[in-house]
Amino acid sequence: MAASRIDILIDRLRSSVERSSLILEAAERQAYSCDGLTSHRAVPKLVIVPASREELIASVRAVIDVDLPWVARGAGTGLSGGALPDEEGVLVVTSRLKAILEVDPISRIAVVEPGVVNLELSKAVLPHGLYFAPDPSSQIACSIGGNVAENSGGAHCFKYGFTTHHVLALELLLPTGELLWLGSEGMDGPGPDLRGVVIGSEGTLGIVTRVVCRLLPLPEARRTFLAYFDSVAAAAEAVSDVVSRGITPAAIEMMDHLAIAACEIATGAGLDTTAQSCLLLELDGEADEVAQEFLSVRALMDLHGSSHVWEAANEEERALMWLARKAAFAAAGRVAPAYIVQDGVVPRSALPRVLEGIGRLGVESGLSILNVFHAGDGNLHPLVTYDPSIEGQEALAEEVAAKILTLCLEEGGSLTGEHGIGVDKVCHMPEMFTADDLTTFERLRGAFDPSGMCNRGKLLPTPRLCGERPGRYQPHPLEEAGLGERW
Amino acid sequence: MVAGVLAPASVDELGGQLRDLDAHHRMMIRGLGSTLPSDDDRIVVDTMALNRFVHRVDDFSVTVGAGVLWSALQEQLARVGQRVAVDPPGVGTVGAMVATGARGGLIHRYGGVRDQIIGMTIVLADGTVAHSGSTVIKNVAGYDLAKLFAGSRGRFGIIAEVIFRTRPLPETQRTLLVPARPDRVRALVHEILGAHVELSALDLVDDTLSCLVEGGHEVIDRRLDRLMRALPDTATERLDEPQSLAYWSRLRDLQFPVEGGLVFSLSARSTVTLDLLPMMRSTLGSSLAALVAHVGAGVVEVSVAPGGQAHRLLELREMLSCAAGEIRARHPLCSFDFEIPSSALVTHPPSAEARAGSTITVRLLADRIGMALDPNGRFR
Repeated sequence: MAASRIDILIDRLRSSVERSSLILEAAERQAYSCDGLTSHRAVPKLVIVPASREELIASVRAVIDVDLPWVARGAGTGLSGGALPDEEGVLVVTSRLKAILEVDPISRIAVVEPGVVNLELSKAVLPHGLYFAPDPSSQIACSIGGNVAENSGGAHCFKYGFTTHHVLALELLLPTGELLWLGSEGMDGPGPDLRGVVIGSEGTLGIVTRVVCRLLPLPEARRTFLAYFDSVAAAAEAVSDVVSRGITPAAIEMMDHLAIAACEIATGAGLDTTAQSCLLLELDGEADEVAQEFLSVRALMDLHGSSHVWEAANEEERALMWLARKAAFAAAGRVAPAYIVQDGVVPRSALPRVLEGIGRLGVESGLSILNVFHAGDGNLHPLVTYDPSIEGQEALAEEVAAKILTLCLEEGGSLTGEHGIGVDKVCHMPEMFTADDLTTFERLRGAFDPSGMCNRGKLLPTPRLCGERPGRYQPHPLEEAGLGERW
Repeated sequence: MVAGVLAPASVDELGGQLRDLDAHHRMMIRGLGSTLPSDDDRIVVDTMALNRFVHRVDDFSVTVGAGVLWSALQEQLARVGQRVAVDPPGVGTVGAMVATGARGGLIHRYGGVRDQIIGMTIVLADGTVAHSGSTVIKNVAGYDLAKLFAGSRGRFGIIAEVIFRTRPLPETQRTLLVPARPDRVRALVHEILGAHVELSALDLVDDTLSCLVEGGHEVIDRRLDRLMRALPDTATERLDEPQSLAYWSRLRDLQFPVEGGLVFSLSARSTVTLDLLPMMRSTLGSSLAALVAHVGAGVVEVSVAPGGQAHRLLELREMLSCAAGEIRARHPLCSFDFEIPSSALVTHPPSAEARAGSTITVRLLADRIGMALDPNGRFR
């Protein structure tokens, strides 16, 4: 049944899009079978890589006309399987839509196509002294369209916010085939913020065809330094103290001993591998303010027992520090054959408790857990390492990773700070949200996508995907009425 | 006479009350100020008793009930040196400020109220209580219902509780007033923004650009000096802290409707709004009560006197369409409109493209969402 609809679709598309826009061969389609979450794979029936915005719109409308499921994909760097293809449907890839359509340096905006690579936009507007603030670790490869889908953050979002704060408007092709602009070219357009609903909706509410990005002026001054500590708890307390004094660094990153060692092996950046933890801090802004904040932060590091500090003397040293930090995921691959990365978030004040809990899980399971994270906003990236050749260890790692998420939720945190739910965490959603929350999300989704064919199976759990899960505790009506209790 | 008043003291109580009501009974959400027409038969949901307040000082977040007064929220936070970085005009409840998408000059640096919200609890027409977000500032799990409800004017349901990100209260502030003739505004804005001084607000009112600088005592005067040096040929005036506070309070008042009047908000590319300002002044003439432009943000608050407001809105729309043809081309029907009498819309038929169904308006999509969340139109 589906095959025949695919044939009809291919037939129609052959007359409306370039030949090179269709990927039909099984071997070539295989190359698109996963995004950055490589543990999940599915080969789509057809891959469309439109050569223009017009082709994108025409081809998605053709897919909708034949009632096939479809998934949008940018650069495929996502870590939660949000762009995992539907094996019964079509994958629409925006990677050829790379035009920066306009830069307005006075209004500080750029209008771009969704396939523009994040870092390329910042490079293009550099001559104007501007940049695009969201800087996920994958910024050399990830696309603006993908950033919109995932509401991407990055190391500097503690001060500057997320994609939703830096995308003013977007043109959206709805799952009904209708096209509209959401937002405006100024900030804070009137009415309900449907732009803000779409940003971070993981490609479930349509596909973005053009994006108006807000640009920021490059900071005048910047100070970057590493502070080493004898314990993780001391570093976490130093972070809390910095923030509670009203200082908002551009970035506060933390690594524990195992992560420092792995990053040093991977990059040779010159990290002190004897330290139990380190903070990578970056202050930016006006020269006067940065100079004053630097003195304050430096004093706080001493106050919390920082053993020593390495300040970047020049741009090369700064780049080296960031290289070491951003190499953490790759570095984990050097010290263990496999790992699971989590993306939970906790309130900053809960960091010491949660890190202690993660440490305990590591000891109990016998697995090494590396901790690298965005400490300013409490976004953890524990890397649970394991050896797949040892029977049962993968399952054990998954269990530990799930327990880490539970620790985050118990502190009032979140399942994901920046990687998204995708397919990876979809079955954990009932642990964070009530049945009524999830039903409300479904109702909203249905208003955008009544046929349910756009990125189905992502973000919201279904019994088919997750089986019957108990979910968050809900009192029985008898309990609410005081007529019974659980024991 | 209204059909009844609900005054729930908790979110769960509100959910229960709505579940028990006749599904077709229309409702109106009321905080401090909404006026009730005398012939209205709706049930009023009074949010004033939804007054929970939980401030996580060290985590810089606060959970607050919709019925808490905005001023009370800010006063509580200020006691420990924090604030929600929005400075809206008028008095009202947290629910009202969020439902109307409130903002003030601080939009320049921090965005509007919707940008400060990290979590929300809402109650739908059928009594469903739903949450989105949480107490952490970084969170991409689930749909962002707060974005949908902020600025929606109660159309989709009731905002019951809001979780805000709080920020450190600046130690002090100064303001630099820069006279700006209409033909010099663009150049001056460019010079001000190029001065490498982070402004908290940059508003244009009555041919004066007002630059708000906030920060620490030790460096603030040096920062203001620097801003002045960037404008060597302009006779600027600096306001010390008390003067600055009083000045911005007056500017906030200008953004509040005059008796019987309305305030329209426009959001467009900032250069476009600058070009439009002289035209707005001349077209609106004596019906213009005040015009405050948040110039860096591309947002203009247009306060008009009573009478002929639908036509004033149409004039503004026409102006945006004509003077900024580029916007119209790129954003065919982008704006979210107020309710306008259908007779007033005759001059603005939908475009051929819209009729053909290939594009839709934000309004129509919002209506679909309204149907999904409030199928009986209780809040319509």
